[in-house]
Amino acid sequence: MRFRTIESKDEIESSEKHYSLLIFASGFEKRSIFVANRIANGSFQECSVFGFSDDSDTLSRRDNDKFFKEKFNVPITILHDDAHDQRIFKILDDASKKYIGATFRVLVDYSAMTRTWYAAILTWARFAVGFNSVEIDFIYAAGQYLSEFDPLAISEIECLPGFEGVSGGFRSTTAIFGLGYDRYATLAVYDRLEPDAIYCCIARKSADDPNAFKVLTENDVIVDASSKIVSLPLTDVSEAFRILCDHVISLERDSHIVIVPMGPKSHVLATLLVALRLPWLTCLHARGQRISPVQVLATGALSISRVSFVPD
Amino acid sequence: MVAKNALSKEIISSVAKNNSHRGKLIDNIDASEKVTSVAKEFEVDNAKQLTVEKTVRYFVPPENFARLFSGKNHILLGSRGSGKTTWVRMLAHDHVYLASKQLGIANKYARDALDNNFIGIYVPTNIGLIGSLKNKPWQSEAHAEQFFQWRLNLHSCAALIPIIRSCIDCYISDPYERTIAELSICKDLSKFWSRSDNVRDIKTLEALRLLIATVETKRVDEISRYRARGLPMDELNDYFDSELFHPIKYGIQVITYHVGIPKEAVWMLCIDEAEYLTEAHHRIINTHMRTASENLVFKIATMPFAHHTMATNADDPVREGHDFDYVYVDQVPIDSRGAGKEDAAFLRFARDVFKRRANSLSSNGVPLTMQQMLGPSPLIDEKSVESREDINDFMLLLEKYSNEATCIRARRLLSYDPRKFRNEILRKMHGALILRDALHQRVGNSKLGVYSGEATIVRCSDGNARRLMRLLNALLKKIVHIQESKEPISYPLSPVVQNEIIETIARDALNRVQSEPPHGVLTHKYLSTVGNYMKFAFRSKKLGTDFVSSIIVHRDDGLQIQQFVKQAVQLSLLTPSRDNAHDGPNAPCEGVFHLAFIFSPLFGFLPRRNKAQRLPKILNSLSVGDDDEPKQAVLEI
Repeated sequence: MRFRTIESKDEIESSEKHYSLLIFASGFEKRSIFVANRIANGSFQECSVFGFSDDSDTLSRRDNDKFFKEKFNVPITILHDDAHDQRIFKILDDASKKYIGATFRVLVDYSAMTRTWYAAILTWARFAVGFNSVEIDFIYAAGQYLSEFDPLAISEIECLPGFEGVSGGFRSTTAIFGLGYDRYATLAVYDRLEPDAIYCCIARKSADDPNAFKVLTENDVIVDASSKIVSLPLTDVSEAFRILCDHVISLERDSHIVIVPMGPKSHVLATLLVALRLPWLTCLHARGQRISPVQVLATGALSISRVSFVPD
Repeated sequence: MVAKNALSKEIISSVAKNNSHRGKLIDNIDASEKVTSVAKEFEVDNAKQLTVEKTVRYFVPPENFARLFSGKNHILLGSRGSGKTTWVRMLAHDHVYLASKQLGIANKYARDALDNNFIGIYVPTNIGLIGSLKNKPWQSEAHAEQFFQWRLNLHSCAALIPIIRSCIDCYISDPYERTIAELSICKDLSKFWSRSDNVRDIKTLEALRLLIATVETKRVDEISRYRARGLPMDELNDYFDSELFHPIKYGIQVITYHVGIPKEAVWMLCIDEAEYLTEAHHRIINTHMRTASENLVFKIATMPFAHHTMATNADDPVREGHDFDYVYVDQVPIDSRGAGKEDAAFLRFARDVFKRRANSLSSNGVPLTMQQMLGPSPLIDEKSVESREDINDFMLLLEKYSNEATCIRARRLLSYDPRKFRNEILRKMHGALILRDALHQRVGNSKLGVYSGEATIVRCSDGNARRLMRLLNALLKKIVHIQESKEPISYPLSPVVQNEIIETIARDALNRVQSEPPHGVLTHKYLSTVGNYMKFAFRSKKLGTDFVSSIIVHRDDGLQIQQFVKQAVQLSLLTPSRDNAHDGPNAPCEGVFHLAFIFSPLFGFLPRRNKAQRLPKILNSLSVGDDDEPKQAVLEI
């Protein structure tokens, strides 16, 4: 299939059996269930809830697991690091069989997901066969951190599977950093990459957005070294995608172009979509853990992005 | 203008004499136009970020660099920022060819290398290569191995492309013959690389590069498709699935034939950042180092403790001295008290770096030296204490801050053996007393200025080129900032400003360790503990000549201590003593390790190597993780 469009939506679809499949993730954050609470009964056929193999007792995890089991009457599918994508492909394959020749519609709440999961969902859609179209509504509940978090202890920096891009023969690297509050994790990736040219993206709601100011302050080393700061909307993935595409396509192709999304998940999704459109980009992922997990509440703001794939 | 010239000359001359003219203005107009551009030169603090021209121009060849041009396999070991990438880049033929054209004895190595037909190929193992090797846990071991070989074959051949250009330029003088050679090479290589006879469009090296990008894109796409559909990967196959290094060897044959390179030429495959490869990858490369590879040798850069294995895929492991030699990039003495001293190599290097990058920073034609910009170092420079008044001042400080035994000894030596007094008391105690006094007199939020001066900045770089560059960059940015605020600039720069800049970089260096894979949190915790211990040890009691600056580690101290020491050494935050036994790069750590001097202003210890304390004792005596005053301390100083 070919990634055709992304459009922003205002509301979650609630018509009878609109969605073929709902996909959620049960994490330790309270916001894990925010979107699920807003799903209309009868608007879907099937549901799958992914669970992390660790953190089973952390913060709100048990309550979230209980909520999902009760609301959707499905077990939590624990995804282990070493086989998560195969499991995701299998779930999507099984759920999509009866839609061959028709449109397969999926809702993915990625508010509490690791990016490797929704990257795998995009990879599946890209190589799915036999559908008229595949339509995925990616939904993100913006979060509010209840306390400062520890630096992320990175265990590995790797390419997101399916988003490796083209790297052979380049002696220089251009890095596009999506900045968040993780000063030291971003610096660790920066030290690992040693990029020749740097561009940064931040979420900015307005010219005097205090959160944007904080992000710039936290990342002053990288901001100082960068040639340009690109402001992106936080919840409008479609617009963020357009701005990123315009920017990336203008970059010279004589160096290895790497995208390092360390900011909000909506920007991570936008980045993955840009890499689908411009397949020479490499998308990086810093895997790691925090010593003390931080509770995250949903602010109430939702980002709904409909991504459509059509046959090649 | 005449008056301006006279003023500048007067000031520079006086600074050079004794650096005592703090606060006087240097020729502001002339300097202000240059500083911003010079600051930009220091912004690039690693070799990857430099163009070929700048890498060559800024390269200061170390003493043992020329030995790399040999038919031996070498493994270069160096901490992050030590200069490994520069070394392996400077082995590449296009860099050597450019360096050979530069005049001067420093570039004789390049002319010799060309005369002896050494041809280096620089393979940057960038994140695209490494990152893609690690993200497919579903692969079988055989698939993982096959994918690594495919990646390394493809990246090696891609790295050959700029070398084809420099070989053509170096060995063929006639422009027409150069064009014919390029066409012939493109035709032969593209046929194999694309596995197609229909390659008429590939007539230039740029087209060849695009061809290899196309092959890579196609393969990466195929892998994703096969994964998503659950298909067996065995069907995937292209030219780069050949036996490891077969494609690069064939490429070398093609170039040799069409360019007319002598058969005895030695081709050096220079692989950077091998620390990010796995043990299995190293085993595969070792296998190729173990077996004769005709005229192809390996120069592999990795971090200390990161030549992951000696094993090969054959029965015999590789042996140091037989199959390869280690070359230590880090072992540059970092004494910074005068460039003339035998062990002041890093100071000479630093001055050379400053001169090459800041050559436009001058006043009326007189270049500004690093010494002039930074001035004297109160904690390090040997103080001339000659007059009775000087000696009285020194003895007053000594009586105030030193322990009784040291005072008694000092008084005795001063009366009976002035030479010994100078060597054993004055030289050893002077910096410590200055620091102790500065710390004692510090009130409230007042700022220190004792960590300043050329010697301190150089010493706080810990022999690490990148750290030196970061410090100089921060200092130059400060000058730019002063200029922008229309304030007058004076040289040497204010000691308080210098002190603040080192401390800021030290704090950043310590904090960013937390996120470093694989043991960042542990390394940060132990470094903080060691720093706090040294801070407490230096301040908590009267001084002797035996304050602690280093740690002692035994090989049986436990896994966490081993993990900490290895990672801290790799990040250049601990420096192994030159006296430590070397049982190979992967042996357990043991011996004395010095805490990086960059941390001295952060924890308030003297940037000088002195007594070492057992690490387990330090960890047991302090509450690990508590950044404030230690709850309990067992001090032996």
